[in-house]
Amino acid sequence: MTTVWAISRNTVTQAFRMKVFAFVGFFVLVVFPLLLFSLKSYGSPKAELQIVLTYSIELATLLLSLLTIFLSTWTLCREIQDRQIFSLDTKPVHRWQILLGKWLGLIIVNATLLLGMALPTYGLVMFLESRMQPDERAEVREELLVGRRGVSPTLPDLSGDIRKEFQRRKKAGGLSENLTLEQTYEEIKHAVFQRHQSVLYRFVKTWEFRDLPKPSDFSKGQFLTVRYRFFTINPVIKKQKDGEWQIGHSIDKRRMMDPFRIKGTSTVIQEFRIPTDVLPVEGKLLISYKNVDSSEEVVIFPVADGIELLYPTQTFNQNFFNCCLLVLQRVGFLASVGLACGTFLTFPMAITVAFTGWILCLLSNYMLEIASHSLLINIKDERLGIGPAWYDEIFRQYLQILFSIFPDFSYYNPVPNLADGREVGLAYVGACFLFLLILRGGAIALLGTWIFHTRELAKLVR
Amino acid sequence: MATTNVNVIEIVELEKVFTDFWGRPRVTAINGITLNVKQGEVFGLLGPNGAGKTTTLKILLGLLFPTSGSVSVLGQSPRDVRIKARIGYLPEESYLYPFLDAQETLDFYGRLFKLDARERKSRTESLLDLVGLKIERRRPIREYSKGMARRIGIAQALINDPDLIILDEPTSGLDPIGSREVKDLILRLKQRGKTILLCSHLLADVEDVCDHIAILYGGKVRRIGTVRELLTRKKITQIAAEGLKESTAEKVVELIRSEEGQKPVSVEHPMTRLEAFFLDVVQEAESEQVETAGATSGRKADNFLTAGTEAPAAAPKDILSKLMTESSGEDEPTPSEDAGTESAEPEQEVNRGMLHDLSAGSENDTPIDEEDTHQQIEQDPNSSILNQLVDDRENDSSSRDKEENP
Repeated sequence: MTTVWAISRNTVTQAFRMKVFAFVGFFVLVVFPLLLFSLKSYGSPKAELQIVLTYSIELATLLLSLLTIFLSTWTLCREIQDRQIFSLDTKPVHRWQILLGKWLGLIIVNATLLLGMALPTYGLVMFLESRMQPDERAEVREELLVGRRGVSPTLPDLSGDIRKEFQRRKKAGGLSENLTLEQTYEEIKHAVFQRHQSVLYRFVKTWEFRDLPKPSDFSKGQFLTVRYRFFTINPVIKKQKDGEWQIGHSIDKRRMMDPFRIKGTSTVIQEFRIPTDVLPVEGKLLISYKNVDSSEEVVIFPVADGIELLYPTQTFNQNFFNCCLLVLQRVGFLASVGLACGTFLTFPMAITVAFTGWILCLLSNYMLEIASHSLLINIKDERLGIGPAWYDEIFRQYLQILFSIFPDFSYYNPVPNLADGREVGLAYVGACFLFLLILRGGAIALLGTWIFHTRELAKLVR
Repeated sequence: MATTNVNVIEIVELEKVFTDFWGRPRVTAINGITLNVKQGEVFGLLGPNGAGKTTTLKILLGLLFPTSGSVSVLGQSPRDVRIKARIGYLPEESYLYPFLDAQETLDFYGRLFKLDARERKSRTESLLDLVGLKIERRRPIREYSKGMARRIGIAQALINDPDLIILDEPTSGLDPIGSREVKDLILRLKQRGKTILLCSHLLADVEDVCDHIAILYGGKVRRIGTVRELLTRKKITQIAAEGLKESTAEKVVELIRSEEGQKPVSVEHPMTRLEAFFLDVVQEAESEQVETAGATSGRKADNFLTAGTEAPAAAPKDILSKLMTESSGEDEPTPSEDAGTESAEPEQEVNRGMLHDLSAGSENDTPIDEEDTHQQIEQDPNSSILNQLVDDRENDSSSRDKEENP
């Protein structure tokens, strides 16, 4: 470990004495706080805080990612190209120790910079919160400066309905020629669930939420939040709709709230708070919505994010800290990629490959979506009758395999959660650590180590 | 310390072919080299550019892999990390981290050898002193001249007190004083029992310090043997005498002709070597305390090389001495003691030219002052450096015997 630590220290020293780092340091210490303070609010105090949190963490992630790609490829490539590696490799140092030492050094550099950006952000958030009116402060504390866990309602088993609808369409010749069977099934499933989530005038829709904590798990003054969104037939136009909400079950009157009306706006995500003492001991809660709008128009709650129950699980400080850990894990993965590229490529090639890998990670989710739902080669095969041509399917599979290699960075992005007051829990951080850093980053690092181990360092790479 | 029969380096039928991207042979850098380097000897690899010297060294260090043949270093494969703890390597150019200063550089390499903080500090001090960079220790290496970088490169190669030292063009970029210092250092290391493999195309360097040499050309060994074996012209006899009269010389010539027939006989005054002459001039300037903005001589090179020759309480020990005494539980001098010793006689140390070291090499010899040295040079201006070294080695080996069997 002494050896690894020595190489880490050397990498840190190298980074801190680079002119590029001086520029980044200047940005972090001078420009970044100024940028934060110059962010203007275009809405409520809560929106102002959301903007600060979103922009600062996204900017920090972007800056650290770019710096990591540069440093990780530069530190090894230059050392090989300038031959300092001759002096290093002829010492009692395993080559994996060189890579590990450099990786640790990069993590230390990133952690230092992240601290330099996270502290002003945190300070500004606290400052803005302290300037708010008491009711505003209470609101942001409940809805933003907190880590809340979201519970979606249990969906009923609608597989029978889906099968019936499939058969009906097949008989009627209503199946799309451009979709595979799986895609057709998914489309029908979506439509069936959508129908199930629709509420006609004077009808009641009830959702069941399970696995909720007990009332005793909450401290005094804490609330649950119901977050919902609905559409009307024309999803583009915003409309105000009257709805009557009922919380709890009539069999337990003590824990049941009186029905209340809320005028909600279609397409917009809205929230209302309910006390924690409505939670039944068995951890199951019923929430009902009655369409009472005089327009008699149907109201549709989307399947994915139609309604959700949120309850606080951790403080904002914990949330913010975990969010920083996730950012660090992402740059840790990029450091592995950069170092692995540096083991066999020259600096210009290594940085190009690492940068491309980063872009693919950012686009992975989007590209996979395209690959699974679109015809990439828009030629139909008449002989097959239904579905895309065989070569289109091969191309789709190829894309899916290719993009499954690159981790979907949108999944490892904690910013939406943080800016939404959602929990960035240790389980999430742990899962990211395991799947992003250890499994994927580790596999790339192992590959790089093997290449580095078998490489003749004195043989110049052109 | 005498050379032993233990092979520190064994190279058998070594071949190295560089290939292109597709694996097709491009250049045969080494073509069937076989040679052994014995423990305690200074072995020189000679050859013109592209002869395969540096490639051989890089294979010995695990930086390149042999195409065929076998290589063993300290009884192990060159890629065995454990043996690297016993090797010191000075690359062709020093290849140091430009963002570190001299002290940080040595500290970094010391850490790689897992030396504890006290030991690192102590060795760093000694080595900076040895290579004459104590004053410039805090300057970033990017600001160093080539010669200064070379000096720190030498220091890093010695930080672990290696058993085997591999030096690639060790005097490259050094001024004649620095070059002489390095050669003296090599000899001192040899006296400590170190095995040294050096590669150079500066023939004088190799001649000065090597026991064995191998001349490479086109990736093959063209000649191999001891310096004496290869350089002695057995058919020619040279008689050297001091202050000989012309008439006496004529009589000697007459005698030779009468006894040996009409063989060619010449009488002339031999020339000193330019290096010796140059060092003499510089030493003279130093003794007059002429100011210079350039690099100074390794200030404590004498102390480092002649450790144990002076009174133990006054002389700071070099790292090699320290290593030897550590095992016997002897205390190391504290930094303050070190500093005290430095201030005691700095000028005296500066003024000792490296030629003094050659004559003052014996550990049990008393230090030779300036006057004595001048006298010796004047008395024996025509003796070659090689002869001096031979004498010096004999002195040293006898003093080593005394040290080992007091």
